[in-house]
Amino acid sequence: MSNHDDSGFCCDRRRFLSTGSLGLGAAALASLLDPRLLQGGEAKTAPANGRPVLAAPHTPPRVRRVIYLFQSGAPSQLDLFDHKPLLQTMNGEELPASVRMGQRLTGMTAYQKSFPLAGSQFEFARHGASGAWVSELLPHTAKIVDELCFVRSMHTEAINHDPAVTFVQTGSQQGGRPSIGAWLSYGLGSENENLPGFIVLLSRGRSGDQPLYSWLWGSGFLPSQHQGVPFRSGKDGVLYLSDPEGLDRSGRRRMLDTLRTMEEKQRERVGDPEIDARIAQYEMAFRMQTAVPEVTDLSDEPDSVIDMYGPEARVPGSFAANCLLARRLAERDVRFIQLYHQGWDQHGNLPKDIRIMARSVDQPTAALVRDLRRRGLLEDTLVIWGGEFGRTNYSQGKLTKDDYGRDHHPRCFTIWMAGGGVKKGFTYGETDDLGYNIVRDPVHVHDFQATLLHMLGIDHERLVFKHQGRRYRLTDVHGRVVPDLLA
Amino acid sequence: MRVVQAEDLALLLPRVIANVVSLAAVLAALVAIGPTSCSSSVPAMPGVPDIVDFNFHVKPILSDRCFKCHGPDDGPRKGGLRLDRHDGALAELPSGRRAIVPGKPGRSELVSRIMSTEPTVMMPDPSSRLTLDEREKATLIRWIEQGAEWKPHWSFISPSRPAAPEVKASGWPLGDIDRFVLATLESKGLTPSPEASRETLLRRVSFDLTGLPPTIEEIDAFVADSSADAYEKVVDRLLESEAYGERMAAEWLDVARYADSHGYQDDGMRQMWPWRDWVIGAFNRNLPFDDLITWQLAGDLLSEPTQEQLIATGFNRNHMQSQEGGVVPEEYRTEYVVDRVNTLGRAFLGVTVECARCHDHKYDPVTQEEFYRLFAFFNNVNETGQVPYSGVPSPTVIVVEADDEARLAEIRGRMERLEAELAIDHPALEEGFDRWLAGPSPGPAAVAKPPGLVVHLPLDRGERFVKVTKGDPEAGIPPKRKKLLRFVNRADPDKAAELGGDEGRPPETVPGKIGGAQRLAGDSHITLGDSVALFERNQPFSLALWFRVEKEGTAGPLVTRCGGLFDGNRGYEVILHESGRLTAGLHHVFPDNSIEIETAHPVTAGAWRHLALTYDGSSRARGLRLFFDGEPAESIIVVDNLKRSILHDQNGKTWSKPPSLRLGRRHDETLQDVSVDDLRVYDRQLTAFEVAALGGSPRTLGAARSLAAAERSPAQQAALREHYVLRVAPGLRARRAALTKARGQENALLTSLPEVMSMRERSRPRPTFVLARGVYDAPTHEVEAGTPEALGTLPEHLPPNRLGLARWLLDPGHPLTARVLVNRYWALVFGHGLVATPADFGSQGHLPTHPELLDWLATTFVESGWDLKALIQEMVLSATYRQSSVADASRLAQDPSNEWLARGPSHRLSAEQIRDGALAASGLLVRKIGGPSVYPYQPPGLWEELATRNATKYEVGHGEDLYRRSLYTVWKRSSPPPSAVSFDAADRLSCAVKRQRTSTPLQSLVLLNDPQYLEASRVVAERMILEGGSSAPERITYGFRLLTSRVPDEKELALLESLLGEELATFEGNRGAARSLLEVGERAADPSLATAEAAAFMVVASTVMNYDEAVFKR
Repeated sequence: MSNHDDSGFCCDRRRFLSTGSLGLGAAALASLLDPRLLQGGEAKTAPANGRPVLAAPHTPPRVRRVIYLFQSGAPSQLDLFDHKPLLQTMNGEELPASVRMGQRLTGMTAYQKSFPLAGSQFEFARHGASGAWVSELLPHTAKIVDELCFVRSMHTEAINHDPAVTFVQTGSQQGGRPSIGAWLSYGLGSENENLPGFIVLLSRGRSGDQPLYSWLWGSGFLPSQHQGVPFRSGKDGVLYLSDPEGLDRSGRRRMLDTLRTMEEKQRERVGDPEIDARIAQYEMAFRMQTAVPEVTDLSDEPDSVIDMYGPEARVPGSFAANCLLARRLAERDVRFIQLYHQGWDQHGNLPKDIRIMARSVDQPTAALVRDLRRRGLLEDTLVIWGGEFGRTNYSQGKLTKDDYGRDHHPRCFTIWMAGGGVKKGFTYGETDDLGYNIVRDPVHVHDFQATLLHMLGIDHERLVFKHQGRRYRLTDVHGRVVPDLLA
Repeated sequence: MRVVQAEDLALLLPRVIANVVSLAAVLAALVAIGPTSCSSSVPAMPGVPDIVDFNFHVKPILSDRCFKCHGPDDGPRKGGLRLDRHDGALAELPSGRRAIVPGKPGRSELVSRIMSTEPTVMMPDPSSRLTLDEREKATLIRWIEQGAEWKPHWSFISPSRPAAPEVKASGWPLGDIDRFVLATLESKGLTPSPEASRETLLRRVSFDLTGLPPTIEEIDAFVADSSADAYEKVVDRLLESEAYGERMAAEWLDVARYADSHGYQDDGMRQMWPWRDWVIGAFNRNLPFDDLITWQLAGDLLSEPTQEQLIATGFNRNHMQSQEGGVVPEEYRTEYVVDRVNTLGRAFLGVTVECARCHDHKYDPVTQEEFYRLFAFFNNVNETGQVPYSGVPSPTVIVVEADDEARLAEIRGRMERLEAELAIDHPALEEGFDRWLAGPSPGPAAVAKPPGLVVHLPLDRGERFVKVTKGDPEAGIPPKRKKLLRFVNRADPDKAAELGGDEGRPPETVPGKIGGAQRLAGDSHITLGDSVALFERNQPFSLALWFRVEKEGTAGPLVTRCGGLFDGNRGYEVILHESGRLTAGLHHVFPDNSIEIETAHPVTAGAWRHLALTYDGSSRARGLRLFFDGEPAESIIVVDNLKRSILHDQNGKTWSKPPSLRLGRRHDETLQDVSVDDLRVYDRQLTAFEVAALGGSPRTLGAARSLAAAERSPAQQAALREHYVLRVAPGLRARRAALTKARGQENALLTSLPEVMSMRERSRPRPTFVLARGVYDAPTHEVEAGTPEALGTLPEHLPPNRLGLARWLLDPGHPLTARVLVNRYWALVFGHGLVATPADFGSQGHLPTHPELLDWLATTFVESGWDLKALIQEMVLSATYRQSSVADASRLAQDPSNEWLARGPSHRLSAEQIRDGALAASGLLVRKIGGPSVYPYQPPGLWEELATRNATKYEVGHGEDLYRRSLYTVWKRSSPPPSAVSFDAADRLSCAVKRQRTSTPLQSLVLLNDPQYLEASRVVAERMILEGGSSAPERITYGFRLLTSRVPDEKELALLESLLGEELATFEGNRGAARSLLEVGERAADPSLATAEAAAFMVVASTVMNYDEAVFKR
């Protein structure tokens, strides 16, 4: 277990040296200190991204990296994956109180006097050898179901977007805690010397939906180098990446060489090992200036590949382009690739808007899974697709022949995973016939997080950080690995 | 000599053998020698103190590894053992054993447990994932052997002022601080470092006190000043500069979680800069720190608080607030109160009280109940959990500056005069009143049809009609034909009311009071058009209707012309509550910028009741009245604090369009199971007799007039006078119009002034409950406001409110407050605190490196009258501070993190200091203090890619706004300034008392490529060429001094000269590139300079801007 804390970020390396001076025997020292950190005393060889806090995984990892396709706004499980014929039969009837069982409602439907059940207007069918149910909205996803592990029994606590998204991403409903990617960067470090270990990609399926917020990829109390780095379309893939107009690479190199020599002399003069860290960071920045444009430039992808991701893949910043970029980042061993796709908050106009959303993600998602598999990357990559909560089985606002909306629903939702470590062509958990309550194998958000960490070889109870006197972890004081999901 | 009992030995021995060799030796000695031996059972072991101190050596181990199950929290306590208290630790356990037998490790169960390797026996329990290392085990054993001495937790004991210790090198100390530091150094065999060079020292102290580097003139002056007090004069100058207040405020903004946006998902912008400017000013005039804190915690509770004392309370409204549609307001309001408690804990108490929100604290003596007793202090603010999109979340204070004050006084003077003239008991009206009473009776017709009727809905039945709504061809929405109902408006037939909401759930026509009536169905409502019955707060108006509650407990909006919480309920409304009571209110922003009254008696179901509301345009709660069945309804005042417009913003900056007058709806809320009949609206204040006539009361005008004066009740007399003034008296129309106009002017002025969130208590105290698991909807039992017992209870003579809390906190004997504060200011100057965990002085916190110095500083600070400037002056004048920060190999090895202060402070500058330093070096820095936040350079699209509503676009400012100090840069919580975030600025999501100091490649990219720094480099380059001298070395030296405050050495100069030469050659070969490079930034490049030369110098300047001494305090 690591007992690292935030009492002296800048001083960790120095503290190890000082502890050494106590003169404990080597064996005792080894039991007190993380040996990998001890090596950190050799600052010049320290990787720019910081050393992982875990010397070795707690258990054999099943995957090395994660691509998380987060569907922000919360897609309707009832119109995509969780097929409920009874709901269609009972369309328009009131939600029985015996089903609702006191579930609190958002302020958007709390005042609603009538709760008419709303059956999906979309056709469902079983697909693949596994026979998974997928609606007509996701024809491409339907073709890869035998690669997927569906969890139809996800549940959460929050009933509003901000706390719910923040909960999935950080384990807390209030912002300010480290996000999943930050924990992984902190625990496992980066495997690529030229790219950050935690990269964020943003896209929007329609305008005017729910916003996002930077604390979702923040590092909280963890050292800030573990925060997610947004990659953006356009000139600067990473903020401030490009040298100014007029300064070419050789000019930049000359400048950095001069700076480095000056810093090395300053290191001798003032004796501060932090200068070594700065030198290393400038070198990594220089390498990033090559590595980032190289990975974000899709021009070396053959048309056949781009076409697989769909026409939107040619639009920089689209979900499709981001999926393709995610594959390229995975190829380069980026540990945690976090996509956010906005637009799933269908309170009204669901039939029309969910079509737009489904179209924007379906083909690229399926292409990403296929592309990873084809390249042998799927075996050690975990792909996750899902939102922050589910949607109600009753209509928000008036239910009409061709229109309905769905409010937020924390009691059940569906996500799927694919890739190394999870069962293929598998569906886990079950909701009741009206799609309101879970009747079998519930998976809480903390359980999902514990399972995710487990797949990377981390015991969620042992990746901790002491802050404000308390050992914090992604799963707070909850969570259990769901062994049934594991291959 | 007593031998360890056999059973103990039997327990211990096998585990001893199984243990590692060094521990085996320890325990072997223990067994062999026995506890009464004069020699120690624990042999000398590196890292184990000879004399074990409870607070310094033992408690940190017990706390961190044992308290989780054996600490203050009763819930999970195991085996009946409580180790955080002396009696508990020594007590006989239910098992019959004792965890600790002083002096007898062999008989102490604790020892056998920690030595065990048996999973079911060993401690800590393996499932806790906690372990003890050998050194820790040996420390605990030695402590028990030495008698298990117990001491109260160090930080919970009031500090007493220690005498400065004797030191050997008595020539070195300049003051008491140095004596404390030196005594420790001497005990550790360390010696102080020599004084830093004058340039280094000046740069250090300038950044520490002002956040800015010295100018070259200041450096030259200091270097040349040979007087004995040259440095003291510099310190005085810096403390007196206005930049000092900005520097201190920059730190305070982290503590206060200040931001320019609300946070959470919608993250709309807020206006708290007047609070920020107050902080700057308070630091600059050195407001005593006890006042600084008292005003911020409780300025509103001081007697006759001044405007600035009210503004100061914004401290506890700076936390995040949610606008997200559909949140449960109470869930979020609970978070706000929790935030205030946590902030109190972090900022002032240095106790992690937040841990006790869900259960008793695991490590410190704070129970869950005590958490909610603290919670109660902050739970009575008249606020709501969902804050509006339009208007400042109430409570607020309107900031009136001198100019406006005069104008306001003039308007208010006019208002007062006119109000007096129109008062019902004004002497000038006496004669006319008597004459009217003596005159002929006007008869019932005089009040039967009051003038001013603007709406009259008989509501007898709905007429069907087809409404065609406009489609939106662009969005592909075709026009729709809707079959709706329409309701006649007799006052204005062109403006009929219509059915709104779900047309499938229309109201039902039922027999009414007069003809038919409409029984509301919920999910639908009856609505009038936008242009009807729109009243500002200076306009009198009245409403009247019949209603019948059909089901007991029905609640919802009866008549409203206001938005929902999205709009702060702006407008006016009558709401039926579950209790059967009604409230009537006028709101700018609910619930505090409002007037609201509530009826005292519930309405019962099943009977027709006549309801009337009259309003006199005064913005006072007593000017708002409710009547039942024509009689005044007994009511209480809920809030009486309406200060701004009740109309929707004219510029459309509201969430929804101004709502029309509606029966049975407010925003998303609807009403069902209430029948309504005969709605009337008047554009004037109805008199009591007019209302009586409408409501069928027997107390008619005629009846009152017919009584002899002596027989009339005071109320009847007043009603007659009022009726005379409002309805009969001649010649008052103009005066009434003038009053309305004056009130309108006041309203317009107040509505236009800056307004900041502040604290204000509710008139009816909100009860506080312990919340199970900390969850808003799980209240258990009620608690009163109070402080945690271990920290000292609130004395009887103090009020049990925030003011009492502040007085308690700032009592000179308080064990924590002064220590926590001086520790933070020590960290601000020395780079790290004497206590390394500034927010945690509890069991899990670090211990002070210099406990006596900490107490000396704390007591000195209190005795000085909480004089912050004096405290900081004492610190920066010390020899300790003035030392060189150069770490030679031996010092670095002995004390890598400089805990013992054998060298001067040194660390990376803060995000603000780095940017301000670059701007100052270039001369671009604009030294204007305060005002609205500014929008300097930021890469395009950052707000847009996250935000979907509210402030979605970052508009880069121009001119001065690009070069203001960084504490004025707009801080949007969901998308904060990226360059500041890269340099570890606090996230401003919650109170922060310490920042990280990391090195990352993103920082390098900011300094290399952010236009802010590139432009500053270019302007520095221009100064190098224009002001630096004629030769390259002179110019480089000049630029180097601007950026690092010192002269480069030969090697640095040679390297930079060589770089300059190479760049010059390159740019001379490619002038286009040079021109492009110089184009960065809004400030135009100096056209008189040779392009290639300017560009080459710019590269040199940028290089130095990235250099160690430009970004590190040395």
